[in-house]
Amino acid sequence: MNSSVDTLSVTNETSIAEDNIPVDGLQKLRLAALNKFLEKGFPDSKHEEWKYLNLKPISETKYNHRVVSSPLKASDLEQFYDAGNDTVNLVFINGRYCSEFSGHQSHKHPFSIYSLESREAELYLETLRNSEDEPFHALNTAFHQGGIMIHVPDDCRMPMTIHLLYVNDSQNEAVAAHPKCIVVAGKNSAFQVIATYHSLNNFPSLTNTVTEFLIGENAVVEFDIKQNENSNANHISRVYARVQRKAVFDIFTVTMGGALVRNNLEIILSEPNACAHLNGLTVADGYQVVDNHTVVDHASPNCESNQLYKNILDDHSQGVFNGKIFVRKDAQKTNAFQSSKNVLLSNTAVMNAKPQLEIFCYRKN
Amino acid sequence: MSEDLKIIDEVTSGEYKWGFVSNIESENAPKGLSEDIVRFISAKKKEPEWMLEFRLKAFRHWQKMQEPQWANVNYPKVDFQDIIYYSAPKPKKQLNSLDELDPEIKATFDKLGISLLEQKRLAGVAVDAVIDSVSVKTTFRQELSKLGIIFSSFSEAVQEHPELVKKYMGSVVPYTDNFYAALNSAVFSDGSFCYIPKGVRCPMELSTYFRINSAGTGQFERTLIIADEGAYVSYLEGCTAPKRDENQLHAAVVEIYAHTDAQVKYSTVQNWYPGDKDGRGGIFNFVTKRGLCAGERSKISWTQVETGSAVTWKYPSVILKGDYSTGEFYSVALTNNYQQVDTGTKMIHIGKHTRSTIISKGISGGRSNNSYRGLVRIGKQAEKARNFSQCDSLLLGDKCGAHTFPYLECANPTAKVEHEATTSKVGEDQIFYCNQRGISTEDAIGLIVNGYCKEVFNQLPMEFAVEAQKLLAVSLEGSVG
Amino acid sequence: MLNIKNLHASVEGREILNGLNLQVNPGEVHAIMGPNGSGKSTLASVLAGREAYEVNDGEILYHGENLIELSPEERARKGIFLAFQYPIEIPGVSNANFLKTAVNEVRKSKDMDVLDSKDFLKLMKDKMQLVKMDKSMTQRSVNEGFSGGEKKRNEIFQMAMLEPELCVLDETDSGLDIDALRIVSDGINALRDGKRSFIVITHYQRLLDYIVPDFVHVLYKGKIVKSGPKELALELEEKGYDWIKEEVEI
Repeated sequence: MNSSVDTLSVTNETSIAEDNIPVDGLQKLRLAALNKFLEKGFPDSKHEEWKYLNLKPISETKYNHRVVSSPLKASDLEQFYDAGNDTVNLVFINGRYCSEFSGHQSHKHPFSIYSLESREAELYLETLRNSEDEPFHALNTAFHQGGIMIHVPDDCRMPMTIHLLYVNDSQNEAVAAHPKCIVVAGKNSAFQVIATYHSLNNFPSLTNTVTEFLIGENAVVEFDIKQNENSNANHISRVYARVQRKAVFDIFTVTMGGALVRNNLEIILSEPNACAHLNGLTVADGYQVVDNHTVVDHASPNCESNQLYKNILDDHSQGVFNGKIFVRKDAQKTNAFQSSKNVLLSNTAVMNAKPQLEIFCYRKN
Repeated sequence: MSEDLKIIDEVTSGEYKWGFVSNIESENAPKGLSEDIVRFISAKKKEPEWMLEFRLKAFRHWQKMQEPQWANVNYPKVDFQDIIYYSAPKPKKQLNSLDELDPEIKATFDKLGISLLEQKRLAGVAVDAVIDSVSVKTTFRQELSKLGIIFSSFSEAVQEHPELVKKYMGSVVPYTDNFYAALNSAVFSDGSFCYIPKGVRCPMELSTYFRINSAGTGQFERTLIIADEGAYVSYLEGCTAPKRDENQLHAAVVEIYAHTDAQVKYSTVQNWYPGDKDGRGGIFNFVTKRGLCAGERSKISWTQVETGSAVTWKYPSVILKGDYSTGEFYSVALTNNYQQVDTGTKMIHIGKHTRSTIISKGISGGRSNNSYRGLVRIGKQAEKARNFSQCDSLLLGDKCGAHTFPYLECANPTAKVEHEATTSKVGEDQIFYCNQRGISTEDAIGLIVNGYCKEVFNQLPMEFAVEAQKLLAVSLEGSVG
Repeated sequence: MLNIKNLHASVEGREILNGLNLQVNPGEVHAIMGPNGSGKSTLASVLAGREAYEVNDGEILYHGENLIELSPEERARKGIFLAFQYPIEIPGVSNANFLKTAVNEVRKSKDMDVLDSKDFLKLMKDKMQLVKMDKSMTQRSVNEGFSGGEKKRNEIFQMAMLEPELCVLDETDSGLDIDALRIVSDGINALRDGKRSFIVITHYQRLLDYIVPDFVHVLYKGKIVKSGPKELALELEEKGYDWIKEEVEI
């Protein structure tokens, strides 16, 4: 890319630099990812994956990528808690997990929470390593701090909901938060996870969030995302899921807030009879740009996937849907559906869609 | 299943039947490309100064451009200095009637199943035949000219109707458009020209037959079709080439200009040599085809059956500028062995109430890769525009690939854009069902594939539809020897 | 005409038929009944030569010829017809075109002249009347968008067109209401001419009210465990399959 030189000069001014990455046991991974990012910088619209999304609002903002501490009290967060008795609220402030604000009324829950530096997480960090070529994923790997791994044990059919509550609180500067959360669903487990994203004030922020799932055999997991940040918030989300034999993964992405929002979803149906449902709803107005990118990779036979995305766009807002379905060589008897339906409410709203279907009878790369 | 696969393998690796070389004496330019070559071509054709200027501008622009990389195809880099840019069958003398045509050329066309006059008179088709980029004979000119229709080779049009050529050439595909269009604009040697005057409905199908014959040459023809107000024409294009181990480059430009209430139907059966079973040789088919619906209620319709070429890169498009204008694209693309196709269309909706329809049927066998790439763009002003796209892929084996890259861009709230896509494999169940009724696996695949392509074949003129079905059958046929 | 001896057959490595014997003479109608999973549809598939089904032992003689060595299309051309339980759709191929190809393939194998369009249309008209087929169905794509009843009727129409010697009906009654069942059965009965033989595979007795069999066989665990006259079907209807199972297990 010719333009990477220009964008690099911009990024050099920002805090995307070695000096700012956290110092901990994951240093090696962080450095490698940072270098990967710096090689190419932020992609421009010539890059096929970013054709319809202008990243200048992000690349030209000077964010503080170090984790910023915040003087918040539990009472500040109450408005965001999910009031249900059966909800465990897990709170992330500026990307860092805060155990002091988290938990369940009864102080008991059947799943475990580990730090990403822990021994328990090590194995999964390795298993789930994926496409760090993707620039924002690389940034997340370099800068995430205070991320967690949630482990739901085998056979656990959990009545309570896990609520991942992400709050950005920047008092006087543009904050970049890089939360990372890994969810491991044991065999035959069944449960629901909700993620909500909020801003406490109107400062510009960048949320670059990564959520990774390993869905064990026969497990049934639902993941609901509600993005409701302020109108100066840019939001890049990556959800990656590896769905194993006979497991079911359902995901709902609801985007209401934010200025520039990109939702990347990558689902690998890695073993036979796995199933995934992807649903997305975007309601945008003003100058919002909301870009949903999905990849469903049918890597195994007899798997099923279903995608339904709807955009309602008003004012000058722009919607993007890019849905890829890959069917690999051995994935016989694949069933894959995709539907994107969109409504423009004004003369100035724009919708761009690229419903892409690719069948590789043999693996190209 | 293994048995079925074997048969599918055989079925999909049919021999190419048009691979003969004719012994026609030809006159070639030296290899390579430079301003001198451009001047040489222009001089050979005794072109006026403005034509040479156009070529030189295009050539200078081309030199600054880079080969496009974005298509989903892989092929060895083309060495543009290793190509002969001008090759013409050596005329024995000025032709006055068909009887004086070089007997070898006549024999070539007979072999191809194109009788230049008699059969086509019955069928009512006027033919322009182009060998190695030079038009050798256009039939029915006199009869057409009574209606004011001009149907001639491009170089004749440059001499005889310079005002029309000047006005329309490059108006739909400017030489700056893309790498291969620029190259073509610099070095094109001939092609077809067609003008249908106001209110005239062309009484017969017009047809151009393209043939690459000489080794080491590239073919760069250029076609320009103008339909004036209320005119109608149906235009057919066919092409073949000899079998050679080397790759040969074909970079054509087709421009269609439709005025108010005009209709143009352009049908192609593309059967350039696809290379052998191991992917050696074959034509690189890098073509720019575009129509402009300039006037209100005008209509341009592309139908293509693509079975040949080693690599194809082709997007017949329509710019829907006039209000209530219509664009259509119907395509069957079949790939075998190591063939690669990246084809599709662009429908650019600018005018109000414009409509477009896209029906694409990809069929992949062998180790081939078949990609559909399409753009539907609804501009801000394109009120009540409508598009419907359907993109289907059929896989014949388990070593091939099918890919779709549809881009749908909508900037008008009253527009409606619909896209549907399916991919399927010729089912074991379907084959067994046919077998159980006494139909062999080979014939079963033929039936299933033809059924799958029916919506597109229905769009072809009758005579062509039969040819296309036969061609598909041959492309699917087992190697008989 | 058909003689099956000690037939063992498996699919995906699982043995489904183990030691099946059956003899069918010209003009006879044999009903094969049995509980789910007893091997009824496997027998149909093996007779038609479906590739996934492997014959491990025994023989199938058809007019004295070893059927197992023949390809599915050769069997079809020699007069074996399978009416599918789930007829397959072939989009874009009209019923008429499909049948013209099939009929002419069968004719070619018998050194008969290929029918031209005129003769073919006449034949089609005759046979359509025989099975009360609607004319529009011949122009529609093979089974595409057909209702369950239309699909089954189309099978019988194809059977009439191809004039086979041995017809294997695989659960032809499944998914049919009473009216459709009657129309389909009438079509089949119209094709009973004293020489043509039928193997009628069914789970329920009700089809046999319409197509009256000469023999009823009970298939269980891949073997024919009981044979009898048509009354056996009624007995099965009344008592279910359990008494047979008990009889066999003991």
